[in-house]
Amino acid sequence: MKILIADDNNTERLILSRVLENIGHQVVQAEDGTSAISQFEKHGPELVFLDVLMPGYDGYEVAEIIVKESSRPWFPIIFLTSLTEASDLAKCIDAGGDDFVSKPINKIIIKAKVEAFERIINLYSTVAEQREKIQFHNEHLIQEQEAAKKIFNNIAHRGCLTSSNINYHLSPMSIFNGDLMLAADLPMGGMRLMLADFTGHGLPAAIGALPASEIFYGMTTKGFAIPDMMVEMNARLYNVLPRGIFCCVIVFDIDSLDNRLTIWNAGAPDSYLIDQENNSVELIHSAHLPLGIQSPKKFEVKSQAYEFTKNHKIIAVTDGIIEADNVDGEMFGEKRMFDYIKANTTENNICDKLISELANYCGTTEQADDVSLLEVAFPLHKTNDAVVVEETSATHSGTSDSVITLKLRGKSLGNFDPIPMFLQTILTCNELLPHRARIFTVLSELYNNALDHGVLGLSSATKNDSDGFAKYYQQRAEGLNNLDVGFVNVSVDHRPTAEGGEIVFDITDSGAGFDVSKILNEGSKSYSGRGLPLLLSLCDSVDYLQNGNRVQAIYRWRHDDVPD
Amino acid sequence: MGSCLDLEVLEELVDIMGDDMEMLLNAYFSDSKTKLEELMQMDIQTEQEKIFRMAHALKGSSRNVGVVGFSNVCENIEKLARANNLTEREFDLENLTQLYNQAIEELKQRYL
Repeated sequence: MKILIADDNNTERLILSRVLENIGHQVVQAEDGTSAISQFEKHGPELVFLDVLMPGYDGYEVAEIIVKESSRPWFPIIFLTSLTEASDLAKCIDAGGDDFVSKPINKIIIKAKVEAFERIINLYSTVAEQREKIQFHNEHLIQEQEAAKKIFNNIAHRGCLTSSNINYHLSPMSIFNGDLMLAADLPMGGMRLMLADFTGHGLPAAIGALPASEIFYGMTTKGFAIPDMMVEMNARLYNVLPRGIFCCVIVFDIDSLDNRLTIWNAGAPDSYLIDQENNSVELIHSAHLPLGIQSPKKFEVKSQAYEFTKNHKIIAVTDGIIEADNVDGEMFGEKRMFDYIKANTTENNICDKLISELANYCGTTEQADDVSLLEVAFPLHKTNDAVVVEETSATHSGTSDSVITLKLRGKSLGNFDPIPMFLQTILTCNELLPHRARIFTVLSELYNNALDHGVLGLSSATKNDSDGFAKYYQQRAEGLNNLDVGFVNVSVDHRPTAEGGEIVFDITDSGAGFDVSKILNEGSKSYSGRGLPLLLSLCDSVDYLQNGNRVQAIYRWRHDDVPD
Repeated sequence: MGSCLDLEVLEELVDIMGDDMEMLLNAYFSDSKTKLEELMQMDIQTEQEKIFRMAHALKGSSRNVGVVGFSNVCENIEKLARANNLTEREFDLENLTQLYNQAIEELKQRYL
């Protein structure tokens, strides 16, 4: 350690120097106050011994100057004094001294004091070093989190959450959020939304959101139905999430052609289905364990279907809002929530009102969990693929000259949705990407007609009753569950033409068929049940053959077609 | 014959200084000689503040090298002069010089 001794007494200075040198320190000497200050500036010692009575500046003055000038967080000063008056000693400490030693010099006392001060100096520098390290790590961590957040936001993006039929609130508890809100346009129009709440907050919760988002956007674009998507999502989360972390989720499709809400609630609080026309609110309860708990073998998704029109709204929340406390520690609760929504069914933006109601309720209480709220009204119908086209790189013609045929029988009809597979195969011809939504719509209308009305013999008229919607989809689910006979044969023949290409969809089912001319004569009410007007508007021709259990639809496209 | 030195202090000093003991003592001799001469020139009527400082310095350096008798007299002068109470009777320069010379002589005999 480098030590400065300032003392005008030669013998004393010599002795003290030697005592310090003998225990391994480097000594700088000054014989008066003025030289003490210049030596201090020149050598930057770590400790200083100051004589009180010196010519020039006295010890007190030197101490004050050194304390002011030193850049160290703490600079120890020990006074050398033969003064014994308590007031003289107190003055040493007042002037910025940390200790004093009485003359004559005693080497044992000097050694002990210097060692004690050395320990404190080391402690100070260790603290300073660690503070610097912590600061560095902290900055590094924040940078990493910001970079990670960018990646996170690219994957778990909000999709079409900013659409005009959606109001939402997401309050992040930290840089990442344990709540996840996703929205995507469905290939045949309408929307799919998902509100997920991972246990915990921050990074561990956010990591689970990545595979969930990828599956959501990937499988929605490819036309997979909710059960298929959730089976996949559960399998992935079951594999990646550590024990104790799981994901409560509400997912729903709004089919704007069929005026249908298909919803599945797994572990989340009740969702609220509002009918503005008759001012009613229906609760949609959780019907399943959260994702990431059940092994893929046991996992089964049974979604519920409801009628959903321009008069309806759906509100989904995570438990953060239900469990928010007020100053008395009382939760906002499901009843308060229900009553508030019930009293405000016709409100345009229930979301904002509810959030400010919650803020009033909680007052100064600190927010303990993520608060997320999603309010969705009927979406505008669009079959617009402009967004999707960017994904492709080089164009290649893929399956532009091919026939794909698939026959599904009995049990497979209930277990397997062939639409995504067909779509994916057909779309390997990149030129068809702008037609994705239209092709999807045609194929899924044709296939579902064959399955629902052909094989299962369901009647669209059922839906017209007040609770017909639920009844229709109940019958459909039961029918599919018990199927062991019957078939649907699907053939998709894609061939090139001079202008582009044509796709011939040829679908035969095992049903009894129907009288096409009769249905067409009965007018819109009846035939719209089979989506015929829509099919006719999208295809160049739609022909029912045999008894009406075979349909052939031709879709033509040209090279210069652009997305609408 | 008794010593006018604190031999215990000096023993420790030899331990600390080693070969430099001679250098230290020579520094003390020339330093204290000058200081003592300066002290003897001072006017007891008008320069008690200066006398206090000089006696303080002499006391300190002498005590370091075990020159106790002389150091004690210096301390007495220092105290009185600090309070501006020093009289001719206590400012006995002859006694001071004698004590000083005696101590120097013994130091030289023992350590040089």
